[in-house]
Amino acid sequence: MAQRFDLYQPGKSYLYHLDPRTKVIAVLAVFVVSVLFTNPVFLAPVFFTVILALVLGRVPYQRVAILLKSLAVLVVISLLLWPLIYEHGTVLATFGPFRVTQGGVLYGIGMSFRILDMVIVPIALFLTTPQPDFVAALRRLGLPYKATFALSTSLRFLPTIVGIGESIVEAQRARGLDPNSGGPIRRLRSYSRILGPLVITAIRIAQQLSLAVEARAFSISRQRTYLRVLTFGRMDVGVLAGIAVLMVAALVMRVLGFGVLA
Amino acid sequence: MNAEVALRSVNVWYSYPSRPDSVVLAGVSAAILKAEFVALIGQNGSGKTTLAKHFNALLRPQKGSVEVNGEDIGRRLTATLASTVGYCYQNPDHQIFAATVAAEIEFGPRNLGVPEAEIQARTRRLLDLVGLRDEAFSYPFSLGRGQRQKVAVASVLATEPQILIVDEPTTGLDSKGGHAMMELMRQLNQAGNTVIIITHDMSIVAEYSERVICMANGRIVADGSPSSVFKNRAALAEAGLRPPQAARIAQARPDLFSPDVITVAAAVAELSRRSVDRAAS
Repeated sequence: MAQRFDLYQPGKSYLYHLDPRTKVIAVLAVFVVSVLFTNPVFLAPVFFTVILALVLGRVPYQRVAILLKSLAVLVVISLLLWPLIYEHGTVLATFGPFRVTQGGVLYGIGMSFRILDMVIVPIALFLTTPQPDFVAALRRLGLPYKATFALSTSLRFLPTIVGIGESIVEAQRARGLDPNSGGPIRRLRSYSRILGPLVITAIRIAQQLSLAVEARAFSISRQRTYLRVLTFGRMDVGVLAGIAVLMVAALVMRVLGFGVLA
Repeated sequence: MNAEVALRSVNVWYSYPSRPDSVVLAGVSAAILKAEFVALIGQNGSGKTTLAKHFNALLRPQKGSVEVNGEDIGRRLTATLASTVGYCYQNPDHQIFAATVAAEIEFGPRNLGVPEAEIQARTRRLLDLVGLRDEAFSYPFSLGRGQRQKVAVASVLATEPQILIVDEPTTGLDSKGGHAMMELMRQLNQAGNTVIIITHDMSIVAEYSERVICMANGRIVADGSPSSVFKNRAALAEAGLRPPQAARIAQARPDLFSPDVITVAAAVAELSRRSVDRAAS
């Protein structure tokens, strides 16, 4: 019943040594760069740098591979659909009303890299960072304590809610509900029999939890101390400096008009 | 003989997929007869609920087999067993979803395609049985815990199962509500239903059940009449259980009580008989 929702897999590499704050900033940097450019000539190096960083960081590749399989559909859709929708530059072929252009094909490839980057990088973060460290990093990066508390609490209650959901499914099956039978409308109705009790139970848990934390003096002190001490090492400084340089370079190039299909 | 067996488990082994190393059921074989009133006892984690969930195919044995009324249910869907084996969850809030008590009760028979007139008749009968006739159109979550428990039981009874399994029927109920619930179980049992309760309340076991199956570490360590099980110290010790107070007093004072005394009522009866005897001699 109790499943693990924590992706974290213990290991040893520079990625595990880096301060979680550095890793969060690196993820944000990849996001920004992926959004800045649309030209695959610029996005491909970003993607391969990411892959290199993960391989050197010995990120458990089986987990990433499973993910890539489910992402493959999205990538294929992106490669097929963008050329049909996006028209730019030389026409390569015509299918009925659709004209496939060089720009469209490039855009599809670029978008595929963008999707891959923006999914793989955060997954790598969660694979190499224990959840509490991630929450601590967000807190130290300036997210308000109450927000981080809400985040860590919801992560903590995910398995609980899933367990309750399983109990509800069983209870309804014991009364003759077969949630996987019938057409879409019947299934939708079946799921309402499961979601109803689940939502009500979740609200009850939240209510009780808010009373319980209140009873233990939640939010009474403004000045909080932390059990988990995060320290920047020499490697963190190096990585952050590298990110800063690359970010400035990327921004300058974008402002000068490079890396965009126009 | 076979015709009388309602539920049978044959050498059932089970571990949950999330923890394959811990064996929850280690070869459980038991036969529960029709119209028996059985209490399943044991510590948390002893395998009571896991065993009970095998009886309506919510769980499937990894080794061994389970029979309901002589039929192997290895391939049956839980939903199709709903009219034979009723399973009532410990927490009524895990199954209540409808906007009215009546609609909640109607849910099971509707799933099974019972004719509308029959559904209405059953619902009225069950509302009377559990004493919720005045609440038929109330919102279930506005009721108290005891009443919600009754709604849950009534909604399970609505499929008219011959066999009823109730997980902790008295948990969270006050003494009066608990006894009302158990009287309902007794009534159903006397009407010919097989009733299995899972409970931690030994005085409830002593008072209502006619057979006790005691589990520890995924095995049955004692099986028999309540008085025989409550005398089995080795089994109770393994299961981490203590007999009800009345039984402990009777066992401590064999000069005053017969060893079969396990309820307060029996103890009182015996004491009064003795004082009558003494007055007569």
